[in-house]
Amino acid sequence: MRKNRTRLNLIVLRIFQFVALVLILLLAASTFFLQQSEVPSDYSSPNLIVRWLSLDRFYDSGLNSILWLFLMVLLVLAVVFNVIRSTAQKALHLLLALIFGVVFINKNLEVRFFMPIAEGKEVLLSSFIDRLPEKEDATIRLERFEIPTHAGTSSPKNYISHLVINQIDSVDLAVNRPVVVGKFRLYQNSYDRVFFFRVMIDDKPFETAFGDVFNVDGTPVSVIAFDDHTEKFIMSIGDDEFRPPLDQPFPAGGKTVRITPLGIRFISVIEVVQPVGVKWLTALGLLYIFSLIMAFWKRPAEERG
Amino acid sequence: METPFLILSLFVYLAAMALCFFKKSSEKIFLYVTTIAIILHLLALIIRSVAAQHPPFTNLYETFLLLSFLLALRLVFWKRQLPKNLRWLVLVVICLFLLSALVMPTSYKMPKPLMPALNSLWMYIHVPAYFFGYMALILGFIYAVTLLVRRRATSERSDSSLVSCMDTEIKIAFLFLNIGMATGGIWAYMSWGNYWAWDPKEVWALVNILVMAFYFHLKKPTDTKKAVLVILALLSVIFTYLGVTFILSGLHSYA
Repeated sequence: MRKNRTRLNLIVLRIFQFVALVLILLLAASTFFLQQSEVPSDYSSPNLIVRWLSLDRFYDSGLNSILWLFLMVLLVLAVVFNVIRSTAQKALHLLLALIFGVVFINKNLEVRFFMPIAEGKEVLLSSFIDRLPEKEDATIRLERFEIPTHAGTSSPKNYISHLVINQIDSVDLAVNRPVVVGKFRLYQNSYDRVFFFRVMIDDKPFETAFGDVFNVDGTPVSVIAFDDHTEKFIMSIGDDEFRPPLDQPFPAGGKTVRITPLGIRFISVIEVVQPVGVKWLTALGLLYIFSLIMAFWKRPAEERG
Repeated sequence: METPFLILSLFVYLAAMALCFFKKSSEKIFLYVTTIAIILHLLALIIRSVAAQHPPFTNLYETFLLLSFLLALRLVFWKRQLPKNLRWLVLVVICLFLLSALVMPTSYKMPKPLMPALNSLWMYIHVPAYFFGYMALILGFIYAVTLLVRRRATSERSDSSLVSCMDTEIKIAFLFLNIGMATGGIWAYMSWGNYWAWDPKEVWALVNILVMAFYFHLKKPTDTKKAVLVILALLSVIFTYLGVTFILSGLHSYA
């Protein structure tokens, strides 16, 4: 019986060492390859080994998930089969297994999307996420975007979006200062500066930026560019291209078009997250650190079971 | 502005190192000289912090100063743990860090305002935790190399006091690297809404922890195996600290 247990301990330990070693090598190698999240979606590495080991998409790959799940199972087995005998170390290994489990659930269930809002514009959360219950929806208006700088320099001190939530609550969203809206957390991600125009089509005004497409009576309309030589805009209405001059009425596709420049406005890019299990993860992480202190305090490394 | 104090502290550290080779020099004199060097070093750090308007954690130059300072503190405080005959090696490492910081190009030394993401209380826990871990790992490395050299020179089977010192340092390093990772995750969640982003520095920090986990999961933990693992762990940490910064880019490129 005792011999069998020793043999089992050895097997669990050897498998753990093998899985950990494979993970170390794959994780280290993957940092040297461009990940698919950083390159166009149709990109695939020409290197067969890179493709075979998923090194160019390792973090999202099944191989990565399987190895961590396997490690999680080994941690539980080590406790169940008494490979580890100290209580503190058992707690430590179980906590690690729990952490891996919560991370796995979190990565698969959390909702995350980017929400660009131009200054003076309002968006609905439900326009970015499918099947959002009405009571969880919210309108978010960007009043103003601000980049305060460090005194005497042009280095940004922070990026602040002055928001109005549901037309009532004024809040400031900044880096390191997320805002909670119902079940969602908003994070200041990035920003852009875009030139805006007012496009009048048959006296109907639209505010737009280059490349934006809007519908006029079911016809897609877009201001594509500005030609510096002729000082005319390049604009598409349906399949036809027109070149209206700056701030003058111009007949286009049976309509009268007038484009007036409005000026540069900020677009704040806000990351919206509906977290799953993050509080649990934080609590487990802190408990893990506490168990680590207890395990190291009580027993020297040589006494590992 | 802090450079004169750094140069002065470097010379005083060198003097302390010289004292290590004089058998007749007393413990008190060594302690006084090292304390003077630490005070000068601390003054340099304070001046730097005032000039930069943030603690000295945010770039390579500042972290070299911080790491060498933490190593120096270990010479004076908790010195019971550190064998006397290895102090000079710690002082060599301190002097190398200070010298490297002093000869860095001016662009590396210019105090820069804190970028928005770094402007958080978590920086005061996350960064020092990692550097405390690095400090312990460097000490563990010194023990590991000494162990291997002594083993080769004398073919002694075991040097239990040295192994015990190495064990303690690796436990401290492992604990603080874990604290650094946990606090980093909390900070990243506060800052970016994502506790883990598979950033190269994060991945290598995870690799460091996995490499160090082997230290505690050896079937037959011989002194040589342990020493070799400590050396591997330090190489991995050096790549995380310097290699990732200069070779790979990512969210932690400023560090």
